[in-house]
Amino acid sequence: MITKEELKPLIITASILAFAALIGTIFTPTSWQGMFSLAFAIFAYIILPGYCILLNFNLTSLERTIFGMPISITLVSIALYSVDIIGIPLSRLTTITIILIISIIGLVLRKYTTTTSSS
Amino acid sequence: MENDKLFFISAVIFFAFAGLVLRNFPFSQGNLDKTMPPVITSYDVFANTEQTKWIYDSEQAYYYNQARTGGIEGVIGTHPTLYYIFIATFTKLTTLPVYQTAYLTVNILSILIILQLFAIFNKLFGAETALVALAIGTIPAHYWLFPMYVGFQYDYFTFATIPTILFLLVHRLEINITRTQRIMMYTLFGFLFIEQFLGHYVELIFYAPFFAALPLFFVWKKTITIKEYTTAIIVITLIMTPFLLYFLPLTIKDHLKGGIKAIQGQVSSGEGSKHVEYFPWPRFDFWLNIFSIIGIFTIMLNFKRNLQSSQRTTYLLFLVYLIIIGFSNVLFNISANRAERQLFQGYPFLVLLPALGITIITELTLTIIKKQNMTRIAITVILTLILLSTWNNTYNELNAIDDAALVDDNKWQSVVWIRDNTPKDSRVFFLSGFEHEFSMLSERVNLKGDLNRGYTMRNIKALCQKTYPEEYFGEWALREYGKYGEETYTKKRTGITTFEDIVEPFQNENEGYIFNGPDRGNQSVPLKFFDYVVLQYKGTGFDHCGGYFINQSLEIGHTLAWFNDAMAIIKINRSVQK
Repeated sequence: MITKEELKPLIITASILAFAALIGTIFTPTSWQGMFSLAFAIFAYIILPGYCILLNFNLTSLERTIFGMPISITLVSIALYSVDIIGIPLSRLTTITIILIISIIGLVLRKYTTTTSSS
Repeated sequence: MENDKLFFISAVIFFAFAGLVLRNFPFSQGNLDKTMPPVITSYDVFANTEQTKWIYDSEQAYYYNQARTGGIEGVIGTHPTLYYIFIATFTKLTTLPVYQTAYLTVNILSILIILQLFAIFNKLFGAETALVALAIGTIPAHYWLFPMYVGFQYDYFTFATIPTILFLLVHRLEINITRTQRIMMYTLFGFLFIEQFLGHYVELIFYAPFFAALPLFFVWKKTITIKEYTTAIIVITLIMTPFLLYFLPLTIKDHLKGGIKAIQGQVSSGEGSKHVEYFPWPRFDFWLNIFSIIGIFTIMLNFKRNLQSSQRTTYLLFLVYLIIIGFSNVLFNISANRAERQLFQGYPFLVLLPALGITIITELTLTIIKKQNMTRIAITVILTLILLSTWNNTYNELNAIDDAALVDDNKWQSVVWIRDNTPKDSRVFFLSGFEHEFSMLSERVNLKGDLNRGYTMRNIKALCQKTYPEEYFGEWALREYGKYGEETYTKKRTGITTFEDIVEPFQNENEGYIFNGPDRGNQSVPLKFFDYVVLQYKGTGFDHCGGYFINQSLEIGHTLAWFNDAMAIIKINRSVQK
């Protein structure tokens, strides 16, 4: 579903965020829980789903990571907006479930989106 | 330099985090655990924070907080709410308070817009130009950050999707993608447009015409087929329709009452086309202007080459369109409030011009002195210069804005006391001490008296003359309407465009006090309408008047519920006549 090469940017991004959280913990008054949970939220909510969706397009890793972010925010927020209308609480569990569903959809869709060469 | 990946990536990471720190640190002082809003400058900031906290606490966005609707429970929300859902649910994944994340997410979105432009510039104009643009974008002069700290925060949420659409369009023009990929791309377009509509529809109104018209240009140039264009329109329409059918009747019914005219009013009338007084002028400084001229000159010199590239044409056309939108108040009489905000948001787009100028001058210089192999060193020096020349000034200016904020710890403690120690349906009168509706963070129905409003001075004047007023003038905080209290609330939806159980503010009350507009502060209510009164009794310039109110209140039977060095909270005994 996802190759090692495609996984690498995610691992690098997660490492950068974790390192930034560590620096933040050392040099600011914010607690380590606050910093690391923030790093987790940025990775899970803002980076992961959009990156998985953009695996379906021939982009560079940097482009996938960067443009995946607004796509993540858009898709996760709209999905949560929709489940709220039918009465499902906007809890932590719902948010994580939606993130996972969108990420998995991104990976599953790869079966149907084949790559092609530059024109 | 493209091969020097480590330098390239390190610079991107450095400027992304530096930009984030610059935007957040002057206000939060780096303490993201603090349970007090870092930015306390305007109504919009408070309204955004209050709405987000309500969604975070109640875990739903369908109904408004009863404090926002004059005490009525179960009122269906009519305001574009997606932005608040994003922050509230994002915060659910952290241990941080909403008060901090409400501002932090705006900072993240701001950096995200710049990063997207960096990726676009990298693709279209080269790594050097992209890096210089990144540095100028992340470390701007302080006035470019005006919408961020003044409360136009939803602008960033919707604007963040504009470069995405532009990039995907550029990507499509660059590469032959499969049919499935096309459908998927246009599906994403549909969701990105819906994000704009549900977040803050102004950007959709401004930019959708461009994104609808531009592909037609490429149909004419035979870069894409008419069949593909039609497919795109159909897919986008299919994605958008359910959300439009759901939300448009709600918002037209209440928030945009007046239908299409009201929507037009959001951009084209009512607020005037003259420069908004409290907006700074969006402008480059002297050197950036010089480099921008060189950048424009470079674009003109390469005009034919630029036109041959569909991707560059797309970007440059958008840049021109953005500038036209930014000055549309001058050109087409569009509301200046809406138009000028687009220039602030468009800053990361505009920095292409000076970035191009700087890169060209650098390349030219290196060529003349025959040191082309020193490009990386030259770019490093330029990035450092940009950082050093702007950082301090911007940081200090933002710090000064924070120092001049409207609320101090004493005032915040009184708001927290009300929030944490009073019943949810309490009514609170903020007699003095609060401006720009900071009182809404008390999460209670509240009437607030600003010292900067003439009519509320009447309350203070009466007290200064040692008269204990029978009626108190004020303004309902947590407003939802253009005309305060005049409209109705909907509690039940029965169809796409049908609603039942429509109530007026306070109609479920049997106390006989009606405070229903139509203008600010032209009505008054007796003190016994409230459960609590919050006032600043020290440091106002009217201290003896506040003191008189406290003493007189205690004398006639009300009680002192809480106080600190500057603030006092009186619990109203409703059986007392006054």
